[in-house]
Amino acid sequence: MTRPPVAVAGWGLAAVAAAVAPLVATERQVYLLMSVLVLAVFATSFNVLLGYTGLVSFAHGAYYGVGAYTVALGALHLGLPPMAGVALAPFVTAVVAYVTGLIALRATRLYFALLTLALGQLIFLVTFQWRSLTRGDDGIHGVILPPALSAPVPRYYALLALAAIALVILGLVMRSPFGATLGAIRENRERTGFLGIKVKRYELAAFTLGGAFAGYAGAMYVLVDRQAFPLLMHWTTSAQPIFVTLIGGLSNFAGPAVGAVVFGLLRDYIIRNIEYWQAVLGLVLLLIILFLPGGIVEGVQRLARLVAGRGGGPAAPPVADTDREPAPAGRRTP
Amino acid sequence: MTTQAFVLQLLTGLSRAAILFIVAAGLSLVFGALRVVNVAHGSFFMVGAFVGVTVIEAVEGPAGFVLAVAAAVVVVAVLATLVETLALRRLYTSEHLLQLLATFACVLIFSDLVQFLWGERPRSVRQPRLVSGSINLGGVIFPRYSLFLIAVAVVLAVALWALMTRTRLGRDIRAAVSDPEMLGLVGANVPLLFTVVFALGGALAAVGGVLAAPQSTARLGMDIDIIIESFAVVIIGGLGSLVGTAVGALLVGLTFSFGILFVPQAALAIVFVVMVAVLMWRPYGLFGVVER
Amino acid sequence: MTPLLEVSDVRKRFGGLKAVDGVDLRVEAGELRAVIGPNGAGKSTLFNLVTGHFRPDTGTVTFDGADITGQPTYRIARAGIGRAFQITSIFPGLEVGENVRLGIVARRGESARPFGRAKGMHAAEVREILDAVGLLAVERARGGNLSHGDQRALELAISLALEPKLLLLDEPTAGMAPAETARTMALVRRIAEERRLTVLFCEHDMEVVFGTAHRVLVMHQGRALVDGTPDEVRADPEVRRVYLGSDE
Repeated sequence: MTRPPVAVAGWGLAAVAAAVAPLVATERQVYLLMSVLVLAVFATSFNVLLGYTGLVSFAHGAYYGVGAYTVALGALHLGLPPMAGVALAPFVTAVVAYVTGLIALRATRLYFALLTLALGQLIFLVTFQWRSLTRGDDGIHGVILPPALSAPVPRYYALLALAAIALVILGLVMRSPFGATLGAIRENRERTGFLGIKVKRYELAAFTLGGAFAGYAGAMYVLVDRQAFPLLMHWTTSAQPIFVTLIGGLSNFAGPAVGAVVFGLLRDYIIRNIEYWQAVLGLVLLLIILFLPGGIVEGVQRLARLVAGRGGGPAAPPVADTDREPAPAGRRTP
Repeated sequence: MTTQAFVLQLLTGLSRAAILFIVAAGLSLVFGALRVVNVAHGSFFMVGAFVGVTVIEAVEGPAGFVLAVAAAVVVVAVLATLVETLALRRLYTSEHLLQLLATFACVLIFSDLVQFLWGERPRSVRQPRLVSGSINLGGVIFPRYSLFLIAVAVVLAVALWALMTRTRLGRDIRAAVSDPEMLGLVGANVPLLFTVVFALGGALAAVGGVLAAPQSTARLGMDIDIIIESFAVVIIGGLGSLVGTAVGALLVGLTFSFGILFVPQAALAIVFVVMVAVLMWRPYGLFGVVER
Repeated sequence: MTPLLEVSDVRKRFGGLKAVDGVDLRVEAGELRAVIGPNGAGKSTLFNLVTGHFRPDTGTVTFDGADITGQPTYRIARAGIGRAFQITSIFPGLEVGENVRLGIVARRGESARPFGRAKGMHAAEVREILDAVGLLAVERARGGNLSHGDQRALELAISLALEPKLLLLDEPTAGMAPAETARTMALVRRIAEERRLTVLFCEHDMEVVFGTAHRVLVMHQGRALVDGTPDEVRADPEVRRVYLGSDE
């Protein structure tokens, strides 16, 4: 079975655009694109939890921070070259994510989410207070990059390569039976257990995998801004990938990446031009939540279907059976 | 530790607990009845504080304080009603996450709204003269405002308990908490109920904000701070339970104030450790309503 | 011959309510066994005790010679007990074919494989099962979009994908019109025969049961009333009293 043409065209277009962008963009814009790449990886890693497994975690920012600090602290205390730090970051973060995941997954759903909030904040506070190690509130600045990466354009391409690697790995894993099982857990956790699957183990694995790549994204971030500071770990940082994924659409692998591009560019424009950008951002998000909860990707898919003449609503079911009674909805009613 | 020092720490903890209880009670109420986690609850707290400060600055004396509370309650109740009818109402049949994110979007909007209306600098206000200063009981000094806060919290707790057990509204709320499907069937006007509960929750946050302002100033960022601590309270105590909120508030308030004595920089961290510990032992909080 | 499933003197209380109060049940391999009773008789609770959803307060559950009392649900599923639920429990956002595939992949122990393309796996077996329950035409449809009757069929298909030795059907014809009820039970009979399945199902519609089951257990208020062939049960005066006296 071949992938739907929209997806292939989309990725192809994105790859081409990404490759030629620095040639036409200003230096400031190249930096912007770099941070979009970081955000795309961050959000995609988060979607492993949210879109694929149905886990809402507010600790993801903390893992992002752990990855960033791995690079920064490695450079600061051990003289570790930043690229080595980037390679190391996902593994360090995986350990942190695994341990915190063990704790957080003792609870389910809402309490799990709130527990991740607490754990993430704990990590933030530890980083904040442990001045001797992390320089606390001051953060770590001026991380030195190898000379080959000091200019923005080569750095951009390095980050593009790093992003591509991350997205390919995550994409392959999510397509695999493991990814399908995660999807089952999201769709119907209880039933998945009745299939003989140890759901908690898979959730922990997803949590660790997503966390590891959040760390990877954090490490990428250090390459862009050459600094690390405690606020990276705050739960409000965790809110970013949530919004980005929502904007792009969480039921699709490309969703978070699309959201990252839109959000990154939009936010940059809004921040630079509007004083009360938070309110505008909030309003935009609210509108998306209310009127386009499937995100942009679903919006595009619907549009594509409209254009192809197959109706603009969600995919219509083929006629199956003479019994046309609609299926009972599973959601609660107020 | 001297008796005096102990009493001061105790009262600090209890008054912190008092504010937390008032605020968290609103959060817990909204969750119990609507099954919505309202992150903008902290924003209601902040708006209440700023409105309160503005009124107190304008009107002198105890009347000013009372008026401040009333004004804060009205303003926030209106805002809450707007949020509920315009946004949340459409999301009741959607995933919990979307509701939570919608409220988070409101946090962003309200944060800038406050900044727009009141600017960036914190606003401080004096404690109302009637309850400022301290009283001396048997050689030990008790700050009046702390006692006042504790008293208000107790009164509100009793009032809420009475509301829940003796009034029709309370009966409907309890029905909503335990069995929402039945609610429409027992003749309750469900949409109106939800709006009322949400506004009530906001009102509680607003009261907390006005009460907190003399102690900790009205400033940007207080929405985020209070929401984290309120979450800790309701998680520990259990969402949807008033008793749980009270217990949780006491635990958090006292842990924080005594924690500061021993490990000044990590007091909040200790609170989180307690929270994690409680959840591992009781996954739904100490008195929590089991999630459906 | 030892029964495939043996439930011995199980009891389960919920607060003050004795949902199941000392029930014995034996199911022989290859049987079509029914448990019937009015609403609240404890049938669903009994099922939940067998599948590990609840832990019995006392009593034992033995399956295929092994004691499975109180074991977690995934382990019981692995041991070979499948279940189709009273409230349809499928994967609504996934395609019908994927729903079934999940079961097959789980059966083969491949659920954790982080490589390879999940979508094309075991396509032939997916089709075979869908064909057996009559859903082949809607393989690509989204599970949540199916009609109620089709969702019940999908429910059954997922259970079959796990190749259980014992299949528990919880009120399989609930909410169905008479024609469809007959069709569903015929399907169950055929599948049980083709795949040499043992089926245990609970119902509160007696007529449904009598055409299909080999033996019937009648429950009432948590206890076993009568256990025998459909004819024996139908003739039993106690059963008549319970069913004619209760509000159906």
